[in-house]
Amino acid sequence: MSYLDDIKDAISDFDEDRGRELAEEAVDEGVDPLDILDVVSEELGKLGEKFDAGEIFLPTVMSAADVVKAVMDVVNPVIEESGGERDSEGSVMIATVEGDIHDIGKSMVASMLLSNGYDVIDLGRDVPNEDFLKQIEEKMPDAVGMSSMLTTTMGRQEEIVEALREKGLKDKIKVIVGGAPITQSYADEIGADGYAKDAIEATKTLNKILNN
Amino acid sequence: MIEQNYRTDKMLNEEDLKQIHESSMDILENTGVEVPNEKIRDLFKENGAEVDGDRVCIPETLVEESIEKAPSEFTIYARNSDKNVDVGKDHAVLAPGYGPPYATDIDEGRREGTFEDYKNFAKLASWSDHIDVVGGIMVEPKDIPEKIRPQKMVLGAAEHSDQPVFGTPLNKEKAFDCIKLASMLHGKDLIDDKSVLITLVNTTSPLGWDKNALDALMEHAKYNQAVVIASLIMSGLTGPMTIAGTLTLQNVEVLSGIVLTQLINPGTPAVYGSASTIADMKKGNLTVGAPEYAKFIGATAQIADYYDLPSRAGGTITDSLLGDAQAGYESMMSSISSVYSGIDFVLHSIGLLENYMAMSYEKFMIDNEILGFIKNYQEGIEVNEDTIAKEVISDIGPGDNYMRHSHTMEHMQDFRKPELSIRESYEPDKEVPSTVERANEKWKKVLSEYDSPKLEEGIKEKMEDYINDI
Repeated sequence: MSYLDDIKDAISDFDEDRGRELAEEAVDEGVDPLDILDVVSEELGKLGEKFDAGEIFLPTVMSAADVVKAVMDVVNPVIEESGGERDSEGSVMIATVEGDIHDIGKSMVASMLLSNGYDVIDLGRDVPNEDFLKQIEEKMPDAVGMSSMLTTTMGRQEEIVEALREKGLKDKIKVIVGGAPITQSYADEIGADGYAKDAIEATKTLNKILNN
Repeated sequence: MIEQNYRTDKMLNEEDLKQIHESSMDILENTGVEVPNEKIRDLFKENGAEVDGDRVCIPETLVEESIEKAPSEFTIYARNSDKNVDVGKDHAVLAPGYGPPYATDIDEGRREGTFEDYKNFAKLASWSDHIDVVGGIMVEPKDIPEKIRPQKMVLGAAEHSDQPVFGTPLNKEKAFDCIKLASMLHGKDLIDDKSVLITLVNTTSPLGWDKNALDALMEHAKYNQAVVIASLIMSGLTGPMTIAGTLTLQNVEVLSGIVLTQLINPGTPAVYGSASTIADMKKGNLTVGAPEYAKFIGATAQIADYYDLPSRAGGTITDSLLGDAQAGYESMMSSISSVYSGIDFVLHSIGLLENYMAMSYEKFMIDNEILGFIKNYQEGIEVNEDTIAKEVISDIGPGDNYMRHSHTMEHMQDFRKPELSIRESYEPDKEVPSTVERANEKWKKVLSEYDSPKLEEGIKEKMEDYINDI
């Protein structure tokens, strides 16, 4: 059994600690970190397909994603240190908008994006527009993700998009939106670049709008 | 309103209830709940709770003392006193669907709700023989600015219904405005000695409270207005992956809210509420049409009874995306469970599709028929000399039929006549419209013929002035 096979097993066993340990050992033993990344993203891709087909349950995907994240946390710094091109898909800043404390969906999205190779800055929930915009301007992520569960907070998504437009950032930063009352047509209406109904779709949509 | 003459078997036995109760008390006392409001934390502290940061741990004695003070039944007063509603008696008080952002019908399809839709649903709810309380977010009127949306909804409901009002307490100011407007319906400036509206305040699971929800709850308690305190926990997502665990977590959260109402104003009418259910673990979607949800409903009725508090759970609800057979069988199951298990206040009793996402004109009519079925069932069987008809049976004897007997003539109007269902026999050349198509025809007819109960002179203007000044 190779380290790569063992790491695959750790993912299917949802064993975060073992995943981390194996990744550390593999790197020490000289296994190419890029090969490790390939393996974990392949595994996650397979799970995503099974999830879409309704063959596996959501907690399975979320737990597997946590192992993938643990492995990536070990491997990514090694790639960076060695001056290699780390395989980041891009950076995403994500938040549940002002006035809304529903963050379970947003956290699922953050977790899936992380395990799919994105750098994720999760600002949490009930994030005031002002703070959100300040963070965006400071960090200049490739994309911004917003979630609203309430019809009364949907408007914040539009306000952020509008503020990005006013600041001349709208063309530089892609916007993806989601949440129970949000639809593709609402996303189109407010000028968001993408909409996703769940965490798996969020990754796909983001891949598409960032041309990954 | 539906009389509850026949209750179903108990979902939980005495030992089950005791286990849930004891575990809840343990969690309340040792784990506590998060309360993001300093004033409320101080109030808890003064009354013997342990406070550490945002966390409030409530001892069992405080829970018990507080529950004692909460009424087991109360009245919500309507602008027409014939329509006053008692909550906590042996009947189910029914209120329409609450919260959907979308309106839908088979002509126009699904779209964002408008104030026009809202007023239409107020009329339909008032027309229904089963619905007792009108208002709340029957559909979100997106064409009304957020700042005055709850206030306009009170006015929109009150203009077309003389029943008690359901408020929409999104924060302190909006809660106050709704109470103020409901008071105006009674010709008063501000009523604080009886409930003139009822409203819904939710916990934030697990074990938390939203600051706006807490403010709204405080406002209601302050003015002695009825409040439903509810958890919407999704097993496996925001609660344990078991029904018993979710019921326990719900109990902790709801009791923390009930205690709070009584600390603010002892005697405030508070309803033990639940919308907790399972999530579909394949995709993590909220699931209200599952048989497991019916178990939550039954168990919630029992747990509320255990504390001698009025209960809220259930509805006539479905996960179905359209008015099809799934919508029918799921809605019948949740509705039956709500009424038969003895739930006192049934929110979401009419109109909803796709859990709480859409208010459907056709589903409204279908649910009205479902409620009619359940009401008829709960009326039971009248047994006396006349209905046993011993003499009639002897008169007719064997072989003949009963069609022409005077007893038949006297009683032939007794049975419920269907308002939507068909009982005709098959004819090869006759096209049969589907239930949804018949429902479509029916709601249009009801709306075109509906007469709104007049508001007393000057009241509407006063309410409008108040809203315009916001």
